[in-house]
Amino acid sequence: MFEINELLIWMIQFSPFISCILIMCFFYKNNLISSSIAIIGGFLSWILSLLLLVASISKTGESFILSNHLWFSVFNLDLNFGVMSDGLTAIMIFVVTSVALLVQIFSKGYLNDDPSISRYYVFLSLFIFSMLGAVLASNLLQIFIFWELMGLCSFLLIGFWFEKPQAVIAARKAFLITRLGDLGFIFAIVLIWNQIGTLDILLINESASKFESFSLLLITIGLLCGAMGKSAQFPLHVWLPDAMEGPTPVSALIHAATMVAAGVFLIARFFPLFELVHEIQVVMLTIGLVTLLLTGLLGIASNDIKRVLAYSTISQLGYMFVALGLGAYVAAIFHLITHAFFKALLFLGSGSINHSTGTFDMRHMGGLRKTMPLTYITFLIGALSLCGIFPFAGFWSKEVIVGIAYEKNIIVFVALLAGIFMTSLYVFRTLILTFFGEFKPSKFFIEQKKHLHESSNIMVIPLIILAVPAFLVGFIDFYDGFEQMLIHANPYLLHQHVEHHFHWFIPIISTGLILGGALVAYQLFYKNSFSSARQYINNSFLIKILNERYYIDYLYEQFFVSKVLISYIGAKLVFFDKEIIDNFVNSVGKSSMNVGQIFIKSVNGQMQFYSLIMISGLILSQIFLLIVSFYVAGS
Amino acid sequence: MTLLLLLLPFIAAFFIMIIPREDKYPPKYIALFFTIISFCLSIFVAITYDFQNGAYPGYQHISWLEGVFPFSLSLSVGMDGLSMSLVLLTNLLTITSVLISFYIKDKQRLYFFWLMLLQGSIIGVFVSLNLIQFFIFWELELLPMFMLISFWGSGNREYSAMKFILYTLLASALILIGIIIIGYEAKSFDMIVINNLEYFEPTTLIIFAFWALLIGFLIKLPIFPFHTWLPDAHTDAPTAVSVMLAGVLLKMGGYGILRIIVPNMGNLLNDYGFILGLLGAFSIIYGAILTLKQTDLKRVIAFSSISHMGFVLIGIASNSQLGIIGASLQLITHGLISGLLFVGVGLVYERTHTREIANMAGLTHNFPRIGVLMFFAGLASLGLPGLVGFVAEITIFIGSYEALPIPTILAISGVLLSAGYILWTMQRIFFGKRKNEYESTDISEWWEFSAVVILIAPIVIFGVFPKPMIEIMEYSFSFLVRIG
Repeated sequence: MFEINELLIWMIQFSPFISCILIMCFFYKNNLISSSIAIIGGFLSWILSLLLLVASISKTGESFILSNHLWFSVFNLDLNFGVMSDGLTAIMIFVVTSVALLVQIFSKGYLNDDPSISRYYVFLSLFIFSMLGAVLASNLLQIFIFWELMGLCSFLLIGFWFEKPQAVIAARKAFLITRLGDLGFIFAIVLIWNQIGTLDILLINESASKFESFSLLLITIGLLCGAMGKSAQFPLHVWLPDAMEGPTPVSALIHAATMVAAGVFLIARFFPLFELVHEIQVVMLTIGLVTLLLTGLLGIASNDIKRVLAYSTISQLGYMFVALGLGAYVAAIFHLITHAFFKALLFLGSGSINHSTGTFDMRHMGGLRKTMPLTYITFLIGALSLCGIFPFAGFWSKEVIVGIAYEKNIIVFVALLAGIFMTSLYVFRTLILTFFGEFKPSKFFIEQKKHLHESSNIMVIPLIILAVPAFLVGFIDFYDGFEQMLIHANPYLLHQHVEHHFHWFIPIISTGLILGGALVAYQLFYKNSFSSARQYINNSFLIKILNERYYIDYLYEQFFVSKVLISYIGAKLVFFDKEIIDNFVNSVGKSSMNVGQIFIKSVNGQMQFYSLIMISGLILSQIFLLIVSFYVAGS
Repeated sequence: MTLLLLLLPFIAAFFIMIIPREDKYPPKYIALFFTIISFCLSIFVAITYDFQNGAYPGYQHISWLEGVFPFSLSLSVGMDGLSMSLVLLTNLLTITSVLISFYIKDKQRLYFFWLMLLQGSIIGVFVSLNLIQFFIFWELELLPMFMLISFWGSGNREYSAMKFILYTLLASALILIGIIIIGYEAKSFDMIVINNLEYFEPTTLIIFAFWALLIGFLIKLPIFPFHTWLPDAHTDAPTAVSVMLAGVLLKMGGYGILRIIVPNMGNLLNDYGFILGLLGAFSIIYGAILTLKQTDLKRVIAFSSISHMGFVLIGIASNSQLGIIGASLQLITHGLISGLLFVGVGLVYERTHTREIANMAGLTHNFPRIGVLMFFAGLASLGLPGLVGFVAEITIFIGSYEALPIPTILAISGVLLSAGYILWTMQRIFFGKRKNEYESTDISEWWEFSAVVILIAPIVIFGVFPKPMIEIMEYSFSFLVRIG
């Protein structure tokens, strides 16, 4: 048996980094070589992560290599760098490298005509490196470092076409909103160190019960803020739909499968802290529910296929937060994995559609099932998996979450079912608008004299490969294999196993809701029936709110930043700075100049004036001395 | 060795003045030669001296006026880890400044003469171990600054130079008062003797001296509300002077606090820590918001400097070993990063002949290398992990939270604001569609390249391996900062 050692684990993380450096230093000019190097790097780390996964399964998820190397130390602050190799890490790493490899291959076809494809692969490899770094880390600060690097890569890749103003604005928005969450993350780091004097993940989890309850609450709030920013949870979700300005494969990798899941991963990593604080679980549950319902509605109202998928991603991440809030971290990770595969598949599928039609607007698609059969079939698999239809992967992971919700809280259960109905509605709307009916070409399509075609093999093959796990991943042995691995990965969990029984009626209800959603979508968007009701809805206030995305973006950009921060506070401070402080400084300078002017007048070169001053000075000083001596003598 | 390090710039200045023919021996090459020698020498010193065991290796003492006054005046120089790091920074940034000044044609000889004098007097401040001598060098540095801004500056240069001089003279007056009180209280001007004393009793006089010194140093740092000289001085200064000003001169303020106030008045620092911490936090946020409102690229970076120096004050105000070493790391890292930012701005200005942000857009299409350079410097400035600024910031946050929780939390929010103004500025200048055509090309001269590379290298290297940077300083702080 092949022995896994620490070096190999480091290699998983560093082979994309080496590709990145190689491309940057030597092959930047040659697009073909640079893309090949990036793909080879991705492949290498995929192979190694497969080995790691096999080894981890054979140890049923227990941590078997754990290292800490001193990065730097200042007095009593020791910061370490190391790797962990428990079940959670191994599973996450395998998912990340698999999706990353397929996305890298797909990108080769998708961005074939782009002159700066080398730059693209540099950023993409750097991203994979950082994502793997955050997952493998054995130290909280190490997670944070790679977490921020991920944010940077996300910024660079969203703004990849930096001549497009919207892309740059979206990139900035993504970076800043996630950084807003990261303030909480930094605060949590500072607080943890001040409480227990270490940032080592295992030590933090081990001493979970030693924290004061109030600071534990603050720490979990801080970490949750960081996770909400990265995982685009309400109200920090606004960056993710805009992030769709980036190249589509980037959306598939970063904004669907890996980086946005990092928030869920972070909470899972520190779940021993979270399960001790009841309040924070309620908060997570609420945030998850609000997010999943609100963005599900937005998904129905959007016309851009990528935005529909983006809202769907946020909504599915909401499911994961609900699972975390219910204390079922294993279920959350399970949904994370199935979601990673089917959502990456859906995004790549939309990229393939875009390659042929030249647009993301679903009003200019339709009937593509005949011209793009392979894209259609794979997209359909992804879509059914997203809905949660038996026996696709999404069915299994959602069933676990819904089942636990049923046993814990009936309101949550109902809300989750409503979410399932909405999911089905927007998924079938997307399917109908893109693949069925008549093709309605866009202006751009006609001007460019494009023709509809199936994408090239290099794009279709990753789709087919991804369709396999999107269908099959749900069949893994959840209770004995998967759950055991994740439980062993977190030895300090108090409530390791979340009890839940299989209820036969839950799948029936959910399948009924999905079919209902499909039927409604069919009637509304295929048959175009209920025209008067549609008319009414289109003119209603609801649609207006949805089009404005609940005014949350407005609140951030127009109100907080433009109006309050820049126009109001900024202007006040500029006035204060210029007119009060600086004016004061200048007037001090001027007045001392004026005093100087008075004295300059006395230097007039006239002997008589000087002697007058001299003599009067002499007389005055004598008088002064006299007075003083009288005063002294008198006392 | 230390004495040689101090004298080398003066020797260079002397050589530049006496060379017979400017055209045959261009002063810029002489200056470059000497600055490289200085830098190599300081590297050698940094490696060979053992900063772990002795407080001041390389201590040299030359009697001057012994026995004339009640206590002796003498020339004494020496370096501990803190001054060593700052000397290294000064020498590195001087090389950059010389390189970036290669385009100067006007009165070259004088220009480099003043630049060398500037370097010499700054090193003098960092290596002095006598308060009076410290003060003399502190004053000496004003002269070359004034000359450089008012002769080679642009725009409203006389006003700015005069404002700079007057404002810093006010600081000097306060510092002189403080120094004299300390000297009489300790019966010595020898800094080693003074530092070995216990904390001063907080009498009225000492409290007065504390505030006089503190305000004097805060003006130099600068901290709100003593900051208005900085943006003006930056705007009108030539690039090299901006680099020196932001990179090294501001650090003299922080160094003064660390060297004079922290070891002997730490008790007062504890008493007023909360107010000072709040002032630092306010400076961070105030500077950052004003940065958002600036329209001149140089003023953007000047205000960002004010914001970043607030972190230094918070670290110092916490009066904890970690906070204070974080503050001194911030001095070094901000020196490197703001130096690089000003080099970038200089390169942009030479090509576009404007600093108005509104007149620039999509410059990456015109000058891709400058775009990458500025973006990199911006990332370092917003504290991206893996680059050197992050190490300093996280150390300050972790170190000062215990003593000053509220100011630290406010300071953490500065991380978001700095990301905001950096990215917004970069977006307006470098991204988007190409707006103008320019005759000049991207970075192409060897001196421009090397000026940039020697700053990028330490930012990356110490960002990934901060160990040597910290180890060299750690011992000084176990010595300077008293616990309890």
